[in-house]
Amino acid sequence: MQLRISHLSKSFQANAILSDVSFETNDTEFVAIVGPSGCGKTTMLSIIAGFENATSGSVSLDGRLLSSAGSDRLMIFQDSALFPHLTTRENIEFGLKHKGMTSHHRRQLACSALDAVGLGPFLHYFPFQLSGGMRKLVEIVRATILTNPAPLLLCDEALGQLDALTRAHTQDVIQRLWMESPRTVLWVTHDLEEACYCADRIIVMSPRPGTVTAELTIPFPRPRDSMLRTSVELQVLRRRLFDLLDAAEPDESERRPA
Amino acid sequence: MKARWFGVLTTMGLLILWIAISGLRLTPELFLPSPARVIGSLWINWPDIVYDTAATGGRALLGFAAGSMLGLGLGVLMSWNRLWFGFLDVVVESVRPVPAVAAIPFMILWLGPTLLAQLLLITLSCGCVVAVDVYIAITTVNPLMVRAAQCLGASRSALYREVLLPIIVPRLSGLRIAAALSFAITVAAEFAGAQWSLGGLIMRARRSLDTETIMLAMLIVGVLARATDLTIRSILRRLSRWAEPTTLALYGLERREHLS
Ligand SMILES: Nc1ncnc2c1ncn2[C@@H]1O[C@H](COP(=O)(O)OP(=O)(O)OP(=O)(O)O)[C@@H](O)[C@H]1O
Ligand SMILES: [Mg+2]
Repeated sequence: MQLRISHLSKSFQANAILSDVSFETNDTEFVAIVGPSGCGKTTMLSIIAGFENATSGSVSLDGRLLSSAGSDRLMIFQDSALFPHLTTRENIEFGLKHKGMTSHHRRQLACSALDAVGLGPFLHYFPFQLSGGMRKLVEIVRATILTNPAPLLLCDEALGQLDALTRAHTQDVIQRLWMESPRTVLWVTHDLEEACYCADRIIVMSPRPGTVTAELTIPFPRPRDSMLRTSVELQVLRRRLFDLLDAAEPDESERRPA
Repeated sequence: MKARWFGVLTTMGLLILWIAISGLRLTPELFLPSPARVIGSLWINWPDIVYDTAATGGRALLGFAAGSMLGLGLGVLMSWNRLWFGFLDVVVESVRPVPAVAAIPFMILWLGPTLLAQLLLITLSCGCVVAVDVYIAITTVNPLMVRAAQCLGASRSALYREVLLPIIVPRLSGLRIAAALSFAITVAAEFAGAQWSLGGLIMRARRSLDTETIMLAMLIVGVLARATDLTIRSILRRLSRWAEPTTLALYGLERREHLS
């Protein structure tokens, strides 16, 4: 899916949050978005998902202008959005069910997807009985299990609350799922290594009001494995990314609340 | 565990107090009939009382059930969109604060002292309580649930059926308030024109200053209302097995651990 954001701006009352954001994604591209806290990343994803209106500018998907929420885009929120009254398996089946898949078929699909990420034993658990990391993983499976057509995936710091090891493991799971059924992903993260490791391209945003200040293409071939994490090439990229973010940061003396 | 035993102690204490006061003739027999006389009244009148109890229980439960359905429908409609809210909020919020008992004369004027009049009264008042409860519960569900369901392709009606309504179940304490209300209104409505019912029994006994029968009828209404409340609670709890203990405690479905 080709997403095109053009001249997107957003203000809450008089506060400019996003100013003139423009970028495009190619079909089945994994795009990471990094930027300082409060620069409007969540706001931008909410606008793309159709939950909020832009003040000006437009969002289009495969040439169609988007205005309201739809099942062609799927957002994974910063906070858990699993349905608390459904078990792990029922949560995962939810989207399949509303695509009209038969109950037998979707059950099979859900069980094998859960087994593949090691959540098989937690099939019948309710969300409150899972750990935070497991909950995120279930949400990711619930989103990526939808294919033909796969919705545009909008991820808002999905792995932000996980420990380093679980996070690395989950990144590998995501890469595998993405390679099995490729789709366009917008992946907001604070973790620069994660951005370099997972993405095809990284979009760097300025402090509020957020706008695109730089783009980095990540050349590493796939599948990427954990050797890459500690490789010099990745660390060099990460350093460049850090410098790009740091350069955009105003000095302490210039900073004032919006 | 211990708390439960204290509850038993309190009950026994009250019972002993009742026996003592009436047994020692501290008050005239008429003012506080002894437990023995109350049981005696049951012994004499039981065929009537069985019928009266069934009539009152049936009336209250039927009215409560109909009222809950009505309230559920109204609550869902009010949360559906602004238009319905605009129409219904005014109606619900102006019917609700009027004590239903005050409307009994009109109900009788319009429909006569009939079962229909009584049921209508109970249904309307329970309906308003449940409507407000359902409306508030639906509109305070975490908005992420609605967004996630939309992203996953759920239609508006599927959103209600499969997400919102199941999620609000533990919060429906308004059902318990409505059930208690339905017994109160039932007895009041029966005073005004249902001969064969617990309310009617109290009116009949009042004429002959038969206070032990009045006491008996009060006790039976109390037991019925309490049993209804416990049943509602256990159904809600059964439908909320997915909820965290803290959520259940928040809505009174589980005892919260005391601080000491
Ligand atoms: N509903 C709202 N009303 C007013 N201001 C808002 C609202 N939502 C967000 N903002 C403001 O918009 C700015 C950007 O918020 P946003 O959540 O998009 O940031 P973010 O880039 O996702 O930050 P983080 O990385 O910390 O999650 C913040 O300054 C916030 O105060
Ligand atoms: Mg955010």
